[in-house]
Amino acid sequence: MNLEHYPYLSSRDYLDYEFYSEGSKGRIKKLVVYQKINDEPLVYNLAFGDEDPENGTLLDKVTSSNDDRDTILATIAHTIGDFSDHYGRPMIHIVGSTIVRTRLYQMSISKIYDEICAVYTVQGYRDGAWEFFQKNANYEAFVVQKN
Amino acid sequence: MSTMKREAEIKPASLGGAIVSNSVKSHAGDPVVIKKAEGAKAFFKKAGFPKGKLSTFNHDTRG
Repeated sequence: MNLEHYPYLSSRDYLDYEFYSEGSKGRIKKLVVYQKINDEPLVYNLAFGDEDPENGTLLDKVTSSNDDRDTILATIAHTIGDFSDHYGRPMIHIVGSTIVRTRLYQMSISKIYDEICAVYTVQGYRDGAWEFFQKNANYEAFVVQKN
Repeated sequence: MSTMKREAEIKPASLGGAIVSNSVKSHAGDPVVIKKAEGAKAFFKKAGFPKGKLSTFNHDTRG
């Protein structure tokens, strides 16, 4: 099984990651940031987006359209591996900045699910309840946890 | 294909592989990161937490 991803850098505390998307729109710097939101159970939020070239902050509503969404998601999946190995394999909450973006995450997760399910447990929230990820379902949010 | 991309064989222990760098700065105080974390906290208050990974879970999603 192969999962194409970008090389990526991590901060020394493994909470911040960055990589470059490369595609039809050029080279775009991406950020992945983990932040703890609950102690018991241990849950972190995953924030993802472009780096604002002017001030270095995270932009989560920019649409890059760089034709590499699946490669980006695979790279994020790899950062989850690094992060989880250093923080006790917590639950990681993932949701798009818009409903449309969450739906795109859903589609990308479905594409790589067969490859990541041996490594990660993925759950989705829909109709008022959490359930284990199903490819043909639409979710409001996701929780990923390294096995 | 970009020279920046590479193929990675996925094995249970192979996801990961970050290059640690002092150049990666913290975004813990980034307004968007804080806002998303607060949004996540509010979401879990409404939705509750999932039960977490279950060793007995059947990963078959072909249905």
